[in-house]
Amino acid sequence: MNVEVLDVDDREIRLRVENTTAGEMNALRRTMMTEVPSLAIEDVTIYDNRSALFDEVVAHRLGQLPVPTDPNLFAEWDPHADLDAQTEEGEGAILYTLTFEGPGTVRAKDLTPATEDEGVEIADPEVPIVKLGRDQRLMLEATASMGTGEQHSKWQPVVAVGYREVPTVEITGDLGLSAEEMSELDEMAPEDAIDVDGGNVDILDEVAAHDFLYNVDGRPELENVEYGEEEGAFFFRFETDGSLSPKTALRQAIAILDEKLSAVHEEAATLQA
Amino acid sequence: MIIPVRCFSCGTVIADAWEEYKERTDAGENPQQVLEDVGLERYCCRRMLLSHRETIDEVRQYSI
Repeated sequence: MNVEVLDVDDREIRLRVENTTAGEMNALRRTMMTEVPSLAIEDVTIYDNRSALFDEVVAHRLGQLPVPTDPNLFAEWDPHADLDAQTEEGEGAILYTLTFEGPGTVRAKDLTPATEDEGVEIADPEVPIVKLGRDQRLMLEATASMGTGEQHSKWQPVVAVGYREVPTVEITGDLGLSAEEMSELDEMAPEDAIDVDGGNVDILDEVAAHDFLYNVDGRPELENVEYGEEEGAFFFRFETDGSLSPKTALRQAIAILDEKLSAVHEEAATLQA
Repeated sequence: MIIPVRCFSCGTVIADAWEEYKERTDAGENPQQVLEDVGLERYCCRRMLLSHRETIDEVRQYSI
């Protein structure tokens, strides 16, 4: 398997993977979504809530906030342990407190971590939790604990995980277009996809050209265009919700997958009769 | 009631884009341009803002 990082920033990554199969890409995708652990608010104690939202709605909104997760927690975390026990014992758990007097908008940044550790503030600080009017008040304690997307999607650290085959497109002969249709095609095409020069069409970017020629409705009928895909090559991309960096999420998913496959491998070795 | 924290379909946090979106579209800007500026690319996330009606400002006046 050959992996090339095409593009990466703090929340998104795009890879090109060669010598692989759709099965392997999908195994990675499903591992990322359901098995990579992260922190999310699980327990909320509400002392006072005079807002227009019910307690459980406020708690639900808190649960969905992305909580930055220290990668060192992965080693200590046991996916098979009882969830309630974990929250109580607090392996890596972060306690937040919130007191807010209206009027005003309560935001994620108003959750104050009870620890002095750095980097535990909610990853998207401006998310509104509830709007309070005059004489309205919200007082609560919230505890973030580790979990996986398999338990609840609030613990899913990744968003929009997907892969596609690397497409190819080839113009093998005359497109069979009149001069008028040719300029129509030129007008419709994205700038980076193809270059139309008189009766001649050059492919500038194979992926963009493929997507334009293969998909667009209402374009002139084309002849002599061959579509295909590269053997065993995929684009793999995903975003994170801010609880982990894309690279950490990817590394962790691979480690989990590796561990599971090794277990099968070891078990299989004992089967030889 | 209030803008959902995350996109229903893909799970991206979209709530923090709502205020800018509301302010700018109310001022007459094209929603398409604003959605692009706040970084919502997929139509699942875009519809969260496009179709949202914020009613909490009215409802909260009647809390007990």
